[in-house]
Amino acid sequence: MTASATDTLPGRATAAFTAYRDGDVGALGTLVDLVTPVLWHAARACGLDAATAEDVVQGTWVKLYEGGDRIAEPGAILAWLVTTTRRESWRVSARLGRATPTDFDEPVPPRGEPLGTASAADPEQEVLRDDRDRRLWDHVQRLSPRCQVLMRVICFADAPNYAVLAESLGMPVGSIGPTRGRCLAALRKALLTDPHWSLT
Amino acid sequence: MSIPQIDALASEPLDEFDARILADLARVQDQADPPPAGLTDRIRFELSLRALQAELAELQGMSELETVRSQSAPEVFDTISFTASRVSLMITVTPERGRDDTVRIDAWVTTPGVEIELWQEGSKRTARADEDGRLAWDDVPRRPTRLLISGTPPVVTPTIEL
Repeated sequence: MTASATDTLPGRATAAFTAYRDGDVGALGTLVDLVTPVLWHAARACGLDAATAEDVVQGTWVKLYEGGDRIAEPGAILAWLVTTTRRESWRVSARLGRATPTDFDEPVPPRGEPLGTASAADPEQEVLRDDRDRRLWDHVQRLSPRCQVLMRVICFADAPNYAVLAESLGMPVGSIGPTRGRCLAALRKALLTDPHWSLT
Repeated sequence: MSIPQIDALASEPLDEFDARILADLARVQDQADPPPAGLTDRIRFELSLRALQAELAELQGMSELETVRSQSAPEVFDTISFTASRVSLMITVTPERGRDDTVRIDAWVTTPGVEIELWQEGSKRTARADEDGRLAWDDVPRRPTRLLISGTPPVVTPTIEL
């Protein structure tokens, strides 16, 4: 188990969890604030509506609260939280009929969500930025569910340390890092072949 | 330019372009689909209730009381009653005169002298019941609210919409 720098997401999560287990009750709140956004995005990437995603995320924290002393390795806390959320999200999603195992690797039709409106400060730049962002978001949502979850979660890791989060999603070693892997390759290809998308 | 094949792209090492795309995606997700406001507050509150091993009070009844205060318009109060194993609580919610965004809450609890915390997202207000079991809060925003009655175990009400 490699040590994480303390200012990475896994490192900060481990520090908060260790403090909590050492008796600092407030550190659990710190951990909640730190990791909840990633868990939210993981649940949503699995296709859950907002209310269901909120329930699943809260359920993950309750499971931690009730069984936290059974997590042997504090360094694994981020992976545990993401894995727990991902498993429950897929379970709920399958039960609600929103995903079946055969859907997992198939590209999905787009269901883009509107982004914020352009600001007045630099309208052209903001509109351009919004169009790029919209296209990126659109391409991500066309990825297979497996790739969507991977991309939408590992993006919160501190580059290039994507492996911890990728493993916590149950992805095979090699899904990302040190090579690009198929999911990011698919996204990259979609962006490169989109005549209206550019890096800047 | 030939369209790159996914297999070839997949086996290349990660580069700056990849890091940029992923950083953009993190930002775009936060804009397009942020966690709901108050989510972490609600989670923290749920965990603190479990830490207290609070008992959840049962809603016993709700009613509107109408009372003629003067010869002009009657006022309508909402009353809500809760019960738990060792304590019962009744609250009356009254709109504050001249305002439509805050209310006054008058409460009667079966345990004299007990401390009750009024919890709304981001705020806690504590009041203590007198020897008759009465207590009140004024200037309460119309937001989802829970009351936490101290004791062993503490008792918490379901969420009340004011």
